[in-house]
Amino acid sequence: MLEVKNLRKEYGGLTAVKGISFALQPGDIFGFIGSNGAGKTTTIRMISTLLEPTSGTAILNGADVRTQPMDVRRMLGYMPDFFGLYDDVKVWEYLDFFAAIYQVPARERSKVIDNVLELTDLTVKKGAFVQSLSRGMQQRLCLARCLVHDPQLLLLDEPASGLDPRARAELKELIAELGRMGKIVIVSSHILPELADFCNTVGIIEKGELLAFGPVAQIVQGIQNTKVLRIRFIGTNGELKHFVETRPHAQSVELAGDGELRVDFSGTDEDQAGLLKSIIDAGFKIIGFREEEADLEDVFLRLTTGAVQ
Amino acid sequence: MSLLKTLFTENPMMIEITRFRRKFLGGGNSLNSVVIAMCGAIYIGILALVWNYRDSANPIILVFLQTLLFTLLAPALLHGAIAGERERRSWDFLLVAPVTQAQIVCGKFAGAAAAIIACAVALLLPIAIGVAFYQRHTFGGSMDSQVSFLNLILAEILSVAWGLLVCALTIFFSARCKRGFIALGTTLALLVSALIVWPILTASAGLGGPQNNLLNYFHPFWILTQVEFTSVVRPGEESAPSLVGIPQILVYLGMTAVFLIWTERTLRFADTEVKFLPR
Repeated sequence: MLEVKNLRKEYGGLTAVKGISFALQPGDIFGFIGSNGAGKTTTIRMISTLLEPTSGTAILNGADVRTQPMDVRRMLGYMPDFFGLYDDVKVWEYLDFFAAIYQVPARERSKVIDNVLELTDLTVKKGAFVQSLSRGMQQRLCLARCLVHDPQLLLLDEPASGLDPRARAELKELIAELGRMGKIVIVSSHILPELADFCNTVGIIEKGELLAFGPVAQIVQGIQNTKVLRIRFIGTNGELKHFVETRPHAQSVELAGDGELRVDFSGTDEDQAGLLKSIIDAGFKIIGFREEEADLEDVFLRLTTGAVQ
Repeated sequence: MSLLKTLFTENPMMIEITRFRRKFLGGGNSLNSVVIAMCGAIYIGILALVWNYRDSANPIILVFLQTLLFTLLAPALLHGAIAGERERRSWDFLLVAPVTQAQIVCGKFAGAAAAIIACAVALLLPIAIGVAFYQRHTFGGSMDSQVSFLNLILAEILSVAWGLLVCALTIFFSARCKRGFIALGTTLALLVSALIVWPILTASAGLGGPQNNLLNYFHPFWILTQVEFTSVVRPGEESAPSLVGIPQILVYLGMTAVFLIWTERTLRFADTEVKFLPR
């Protein structure tokens, strides 16, 4: 379990992170969202023991980043937003070097390397030189390096930046698999729709403050006072618009193109079903009736102002 | 004892020795392969030369050449030890690993020290040829004396100790500089200043003697010539133990430790905040 408690970082007169707190359980994949300069990387670097917090702390399975950094390091894998690979060694030599540093016993290293290469789908590149790998493969090798000591927490800072769509999809699947293996994964990214696909928890940070934290659906629901309904129909625009405006719980109705209405609706699911029934009973020809779901991007744009420190 | 274990015998960063071997002997890139091939050719050439002129190949002069090699080899091997990690941005990977910064520094140092010692071992063969066949001749051409074995060992230890000091100095500048080539340039500039420019300046000013000048007294090539001068042994005589070179060895090893500790202290600063003196 990871507990982040009132974590704060000040650089001179600037407070980069203003006392953020959250907790994650094994298997959680946490999407950390924020604009550039919002404090994501600073938070990740504090959790990874690279930066000392000004106050507050993070505790990973009972080990405190401030007082027991060595214990924390044994349990975490950190992948920054750059590869930083040694380019004059082979793939297996690179992994062997880090396995040794993480004190994986020499007799087990070969098996561990084979396992992480299989997990990251790099087995065929075991004997290749690191510099000969494509960008996507280098990214996966970087992730393989994080996994050689079987960490319980993975900190992935912008892991998908610069990857092509295929490599991105593969990385997404790999991260989901790590979550299924019971690891806590913290992913910071700007690509919000992708985060929503595989993260079960998200946090939105701006100017060093955690504005929202929790499951994606809960956060989305939290910002929505009304539902948005989209009604597609055959016939004259004005008649249906006028009809819907007179129905209970319809806050506002507007035409959204030819043959479509956008309705802000404050009723329950029952009320929603009632609205559909009344429209059909009134003789309107409906070909589509759906609730528009707000996505992470909407939430992000709604909650943040885009300001940086 | 516990410190020795932490920093050397049980230090996971000792894997740097293996990485050095893989990097420079594993044919990782074509430049390394060319350099290794050239070194092999030069080594065979030295062996052939020493064998052909074996009766006039003074082993201490061979140690002198070995010291020159170490002076150039150590900066070449180590200039990127820390600055290079920063440049390629792999430094963070070491900092988040369960090793202390002292262990990182010792691991880097051990990698280069192993290379220095491997070179010293490889050069033992031509030196052994010199020991076996070299005869010091007078002007008349008759055999006059041999090189003292004890002095030869002293010269060898002095040479390796100097090599280790240059390694520590290079790591120190590598920790201080943001770029590997700046670390290389700074180290070489310092060595050229201390070994060539300063002796020339002090000699020009009539202050070149070791009795007048502490830096010249610790000049490795000067002290090797002193070891050579005191190594004359006439046939049938026992060699007299000489203390020449021992203070220098102790100072070289002491300064090696000082530079390694200073390097570790340097790393306590944030990696974007490289300063020469602590606040």
